[in-house]
Amino acid sequence: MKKILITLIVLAVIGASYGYYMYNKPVESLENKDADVTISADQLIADYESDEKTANEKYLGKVVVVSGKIAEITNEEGKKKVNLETSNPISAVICEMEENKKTEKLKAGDMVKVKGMCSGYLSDVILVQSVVVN
Amino acid sequence: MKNIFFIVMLLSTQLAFGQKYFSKTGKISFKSDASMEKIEAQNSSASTALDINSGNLEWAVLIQGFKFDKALMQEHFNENYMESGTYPKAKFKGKIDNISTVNFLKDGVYNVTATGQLEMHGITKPVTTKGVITVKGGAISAKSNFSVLLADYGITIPKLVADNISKTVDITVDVSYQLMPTE
Repeated sequence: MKKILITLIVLAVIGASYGYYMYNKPVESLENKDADVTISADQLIADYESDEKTANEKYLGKVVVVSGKIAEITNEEGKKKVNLETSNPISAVICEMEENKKTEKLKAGDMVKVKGMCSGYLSDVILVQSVVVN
Repeated sequence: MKNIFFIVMLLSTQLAFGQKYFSKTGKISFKSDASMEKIEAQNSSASTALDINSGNLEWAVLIQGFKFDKALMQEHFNENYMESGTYPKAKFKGKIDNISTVNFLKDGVYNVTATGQLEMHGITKPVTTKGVITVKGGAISAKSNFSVLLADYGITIPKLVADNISKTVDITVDVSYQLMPTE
């Protein structure tokens, strides 16, 4: 009887801790996640310009690897954004970068591959939680 | 003399065309406080445009760009509450009613009121909010804080957790504007 009780208590504690762990689990880095789509910055913008709804079905909420040339790197309050240029002068792929050593070495003009979660299109496509892919 | 003439020319074109301001790095954050669940998230890539002559004001933000600390909260926010797969954006389109009281040539903090339509979760409702426009050395920034009732936007809270989640959210917007390049 005592054994059963102890087992139950142990199980309850494990259950509660697991629940607590899941509840507090931080947002996971994309570093080790596989990409759903690999695409050039140009093509991604072109797809969004031609039909936003269809493009959202393909890319929204997906992990995408985007390749392109860095037009500009901005840093506001320690939050880095890497803008990839496209053939449209007013549209870029804006990548909100995660804090990462690899990001520090980047400079404008570099060709890069960035992995991020596509959050959609305003006049730019915005990737969040982005990391540089080797 | 020629130089002065050139500068005057330059300034006058600036004044004539310097009416539209924009930013792609507008910050929007929201907070919802309830006894059990404190929900907080930030977005730093909102787009906004302000016409300082007419007072026309627009904002747009991507829902999936909101950052949370907790993964589960982010998932619930996107999938259960905002349904961001179907409604990826929130937009505000309106006007600063008393734009004429702001002297954009003089440093200061000006109280303003904005009225317009706020669209989120596929539902559009009128909103009115107070804010401030700060002019400092020619730079323009704006801030506002307002609260929305989730039910107004068809966002329902499951009964099971209804007591733990606030029925309103506090939204803060904060932006430094840049002059829009003219063609």
